[in-house]
Amino acid sequence: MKTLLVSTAFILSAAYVDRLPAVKQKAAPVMIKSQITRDGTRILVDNRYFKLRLIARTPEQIAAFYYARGFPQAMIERITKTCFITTGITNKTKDILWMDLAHWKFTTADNRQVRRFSRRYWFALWKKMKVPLRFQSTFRWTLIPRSLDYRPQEREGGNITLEPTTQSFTLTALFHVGQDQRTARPVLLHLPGIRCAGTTATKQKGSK
Amino acid sequence: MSPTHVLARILLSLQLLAVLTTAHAKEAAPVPALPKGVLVLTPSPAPDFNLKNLDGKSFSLKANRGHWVFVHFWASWCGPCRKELPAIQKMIKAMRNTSLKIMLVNTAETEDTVFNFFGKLELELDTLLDQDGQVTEQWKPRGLPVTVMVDPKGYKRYMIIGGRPWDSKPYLDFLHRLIDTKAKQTP
Repeated sequence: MKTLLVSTAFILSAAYVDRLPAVKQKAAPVMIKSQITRDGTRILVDNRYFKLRLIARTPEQIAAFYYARGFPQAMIERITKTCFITTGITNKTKDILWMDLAHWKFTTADNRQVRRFSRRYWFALWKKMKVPLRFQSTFRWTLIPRSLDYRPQEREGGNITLEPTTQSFTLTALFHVGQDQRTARPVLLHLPGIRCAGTTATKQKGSK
Repeated sequence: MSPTHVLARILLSLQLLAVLTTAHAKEAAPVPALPKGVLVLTPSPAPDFNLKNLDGKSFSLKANRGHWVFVHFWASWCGPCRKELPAIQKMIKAMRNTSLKIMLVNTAETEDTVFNFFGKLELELDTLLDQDGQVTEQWKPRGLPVTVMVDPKGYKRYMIIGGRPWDSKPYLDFLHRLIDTKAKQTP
């Protein structure tokens, strides 16, 4: 059983690395063993490298937050059609933990990739919609940084915005641990069972 | 050699030993550790800005050249900022008779939002308003809240990430060490 698990981890790692954009891998990533706690729409992942907290936000929560900041109606309408996952990462190592969203993949059980809306996507959209700069700026600050070198004990986070889906999906996220990014050790997180908290685009009658 | 000479030599040797020991002790004195969350930056020029405060008065960073400046970016919607601001208020009181200059910069909120927020939290603070968020964008903080320490020559020297207990001894000592240090030296 143990061999099977290790082999599966290796295959998953290898398959993942093949798809990575422009990353030179010297060693296969180590699959991270985590303790996972689930509570409603919250997932807490705890392992020797980091703590990761994911909270799926409902459209009502998201709308309330941005309404309170005075965001224009058109902006809120678009935002609430998105799957919002509030994400917090704390580096537990004494090294630098390198995070880059380009190495995060969200995949459904039928192997369909869930699209992540990037900062560039939102920037282009808000520009097209002629959204005032201050709302653009606040919105950007509520998103998780595209990439970050987490220092020891540092905690940073923000929202990840995804294409809405009613299906459960898996996050496969590659991190690197080490002082120098070029030689840092790759570690891979495999986290199944994530769900959006419902969006106006996907909400169905009777759904929570 | 007379006994007086021998005694004089012994005393001289002891004095020399004492001087050397003191010098060594000075060299070996432990450098105080930086408080939690303080990152040492590769010095780079801090972008100047000119922003208005809640009373509509303009302030520029450049006008504070010659002093260490505590530049703090925050927003009312950010949880750690809300927790940290009371500690900053106490720190400002504790540092009021020093040469430290303090500039709080609110990111992309209106005067009304900030005014109401300070009222709710019973804070007696002043902040500059980066109403379109563009100054904050230019400074590229890692997240909110964030503090950048700018040295008397106008260079970014430290970045302090996340909400910190600025009114506690390690952070007050850190600020005191900075203002006691010339711009060229790293405390």
